[in-house]
Amino acid sequence: MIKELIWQIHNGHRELVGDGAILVLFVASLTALLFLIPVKTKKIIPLFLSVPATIGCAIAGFIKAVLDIRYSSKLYKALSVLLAAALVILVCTVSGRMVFSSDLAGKNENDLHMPAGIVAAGEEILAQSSDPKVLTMPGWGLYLKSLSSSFTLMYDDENGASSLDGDQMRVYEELLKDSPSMKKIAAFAHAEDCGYVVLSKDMWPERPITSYGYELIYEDDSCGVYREVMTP
Amino acid sequence: MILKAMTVFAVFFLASYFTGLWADIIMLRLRSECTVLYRISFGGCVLIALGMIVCFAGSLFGASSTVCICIYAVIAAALTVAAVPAACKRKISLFPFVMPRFHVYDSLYLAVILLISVQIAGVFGYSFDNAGVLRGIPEAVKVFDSGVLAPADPMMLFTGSLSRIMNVHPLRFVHGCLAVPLILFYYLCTFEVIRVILPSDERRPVALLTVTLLAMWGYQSDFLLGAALLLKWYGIWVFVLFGLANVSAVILIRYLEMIPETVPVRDIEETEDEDPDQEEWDMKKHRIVNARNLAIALGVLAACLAASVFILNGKINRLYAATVNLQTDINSRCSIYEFIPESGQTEGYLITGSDGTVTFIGGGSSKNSGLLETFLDEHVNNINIWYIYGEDEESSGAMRALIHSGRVDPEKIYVIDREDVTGIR
Repeated sequence: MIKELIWQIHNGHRELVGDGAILVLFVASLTALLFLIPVKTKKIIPLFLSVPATIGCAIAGFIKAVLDIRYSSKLYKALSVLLAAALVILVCTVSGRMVFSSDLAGKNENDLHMPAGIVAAGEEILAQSSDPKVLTMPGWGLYLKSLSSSFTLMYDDENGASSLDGDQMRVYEELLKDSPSMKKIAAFAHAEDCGYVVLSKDMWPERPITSYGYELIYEDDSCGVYREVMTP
Repeated sequence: MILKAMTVFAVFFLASYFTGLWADIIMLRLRSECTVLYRISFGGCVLIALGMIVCFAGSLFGASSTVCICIYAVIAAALTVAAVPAACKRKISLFPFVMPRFHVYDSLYLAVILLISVQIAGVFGYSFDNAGVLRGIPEAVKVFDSGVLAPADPMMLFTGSLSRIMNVHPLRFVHGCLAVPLILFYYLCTFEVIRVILPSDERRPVALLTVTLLAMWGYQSDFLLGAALLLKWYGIWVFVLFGLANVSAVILIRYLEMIPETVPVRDIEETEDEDPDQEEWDMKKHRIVNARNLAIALGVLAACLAASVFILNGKINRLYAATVNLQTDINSRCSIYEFIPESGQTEGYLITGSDGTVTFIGGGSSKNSGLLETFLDEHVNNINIWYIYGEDEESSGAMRALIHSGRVDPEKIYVIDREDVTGIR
């Protein structure tokens, strides 16, 4: 619990920056444009339309106002170059690392920009069925639906878990566990006439789903695809 | 694919340039100048908006994507072609290029170009660790697969229709063909607003640099994910925020500038003969700290506080949810249950370990087997390790019955010697 709380606090500043920064920056920028920069009153109204440009102009004006305290053209020029270098370094070291996942970049060798394992799993299913019904991990449905509209998902958690009904919610919660009951998952999949199940390799079930009427047809480092065993 | 991407890039900017001649005509009516960059921004905005409108209207009538794209192409071509004679009639130069003067502070634009290049390179070379970035894409994929338009996000309908016409999967189309022209286009739109707001050249590159940084900051928040230029350059909210809003803001600013300042006659008469008290009052009015400014500052403070409370409230709720889930998780991982049949006497203990191992101690005679099976159904699927107090029916009957019925299949069974345990005590 403490570890989780520390993790939440650790990430707190990032979310705080993301959620509140634009609002606070925008209000502060409008104030700055009113008092620091000689912007005509008429120009203020349209500024409400252009949030990023307003913030940019205010910060630029603020920097100029600060530099004007001991204004000299050489100082301004030197500081301009230093500022540019500092901003680029900031972006490349901080934002760049957060925005792009180097881990995914290594695995992602397809031009669809999705985890390569899921793309391969989806293509394997599509090669076997033109209209597959699939039960998959929470959050993975969006990947499959982005790959092809042929997939029918057993539950759609795109709008959050709160939109799921009773049985869907139970299987959704089961799939979130480290050691889910494959018996329950398979029972749900059978009841819904689900032909394929795509599961993460990070799970440690007590018994594999192959014990409950599904056979493995594809696997890689990240996921496995199971097909319902059809008896003649 | 590279050829298709280059075609999209060339067609988009060329069509935007000539469609943007309507911006020159509008600016002429507003008695203002129109730069080449604004011409492209306006033209691009019109073309994208037109595509969305046609596709969305087509979805309402159940039209196919091919028909919609054909109608769109005809209207766009007519708009573009009609703009040329209309501009020539008003003596607007088709190619009004002038070499800009170079200042030292223009070197900051190099940093802007570098940052935008980093963004575009990132878009090409990396994947994202947030599946939410793909939200909306399934609608485009549906159009791509079926060719039928159904009411949905207009931008995604337009993207899906274009990708179907070009026979490129929407994800490949978005990442391969749209990334460069759209990201550049949105920065052009933003630059035009900055150019209009800031009359001084030296502040413009810093402002644009700030915007590029903000574009990268957007990812820090799930709430703003849909408007993050870096990740959702193909989304409708980015188009509204960086394209439509900026282009509209420029026109609105120019329109407001055209309206002459109207000074009331009474004010003119008063200014001719001001008394000292009036001058003093006027000085007070223009002081930095006055009632109006204080009111604005307080308003800003109140807004910031309200935002802080809102954000902190959300944060606390998330912390609470995390704690609750964690407790549930712990309970589901490591727990002990007591098996008490109808006799009221404890006949066994079920232990689930943090590694998923399930252990049962005891069980009693075979008459408990039915209740024990119900008990196990509630909590676990199987038992890995079973400890029994003896091999006789009284101690192991329930376990034997469940094994024979196939309900459980223990990997290991240990027999506890009662006498040994009693001896230790």
